[in-house]
Amino acid sequence: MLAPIASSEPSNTPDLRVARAQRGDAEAFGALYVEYAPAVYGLAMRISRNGPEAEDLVQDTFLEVWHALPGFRGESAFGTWLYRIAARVIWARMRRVSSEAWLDLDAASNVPSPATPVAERLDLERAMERLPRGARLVLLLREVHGLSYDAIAQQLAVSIGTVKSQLHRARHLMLEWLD
Amino acid sequence: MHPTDEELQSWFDEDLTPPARATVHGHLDTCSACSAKLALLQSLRDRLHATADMRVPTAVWSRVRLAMPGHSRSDMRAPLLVAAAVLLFLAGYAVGQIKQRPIIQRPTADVASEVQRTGSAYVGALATLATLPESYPTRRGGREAALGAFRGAAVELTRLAADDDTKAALERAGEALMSEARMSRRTIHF
Repeated sequence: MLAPIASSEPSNTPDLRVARAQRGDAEAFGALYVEYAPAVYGLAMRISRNGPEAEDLVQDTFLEVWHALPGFRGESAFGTWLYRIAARVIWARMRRVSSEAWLDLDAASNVPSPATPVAERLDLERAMERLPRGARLVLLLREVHGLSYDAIAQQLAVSIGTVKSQLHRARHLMLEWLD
Repeated sequence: MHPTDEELQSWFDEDLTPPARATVHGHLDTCSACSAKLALLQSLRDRLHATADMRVPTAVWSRVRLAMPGHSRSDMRAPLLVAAAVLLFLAGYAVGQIKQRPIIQRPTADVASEVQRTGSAYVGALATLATLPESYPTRRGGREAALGAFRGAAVELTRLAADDDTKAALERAGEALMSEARMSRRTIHF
């Protein structure tokens, strides 16, 4: 019934590029970069809304991945492991530069009344831009990058309850705005 | 009784206990309204997923590559490439000057200055080149090519019989460029 989230699929095939990169092979690491950087950049752009800042976040993410690679044990898919690092890097930066993070779950203003049509139809990006960054990040980490509630909570240093409530509300709002 | 929106989302995220999941699943088989809500959730996921990747500016990889420390391949190759480039430049410069024979009349400082300026640009260009992974030769081929160029340039430079002052100035300029190359390597991690 439901399409899988590709990036959450555990890979049973050992990725030779990962093994080579773990041994310090920069060409293999470059190949991994080519595959995963567009998704990390997309995530960073959607959270930061700033090209140079998103580039910095990609750079920081891949440098951290390079340093952490020797410790990667393959207990999750490489992509999932990498996106966790990306989440942590992006979130650390966003917390420093922005206090606007979460949806106020009690504020009626967050939720347009069903009887009140949204003035204009928002495209996907504009709708996402209306979400606070934390809620946006949770939404993307779950829907696009396939991280579990627990993984998101760990990387963002929040409770699983916060992840679930922000995710559910963010989805609800997105569907309202895109209706 | 319909599941709540939260229950539907938890079902969507496979976050329900098996009994709760079975209950919601059974309900979805018969409830078109809840199935439609679920389809909307899937549609949102699909749309977010479909537009997730963005083309990364090429300069970003160069920056990552530059900041990666302890890269053994380039640690070994880049100084050789720079050394070969500097010596080739010096040899070519000396050949040109000696063939035209204006070098004796020119102040030594001017010659050294010109070597320094052009050579610095050469080193800078090599540093930029070193950041482009697709331009890298293989480890073995790159090292051998650099060594070959180094030897050839050294032989050529030795064979030339420039006047002593100019030769000394060229050697000093070469030393300065090598020093600059070493500094560049520390800074940008070739």
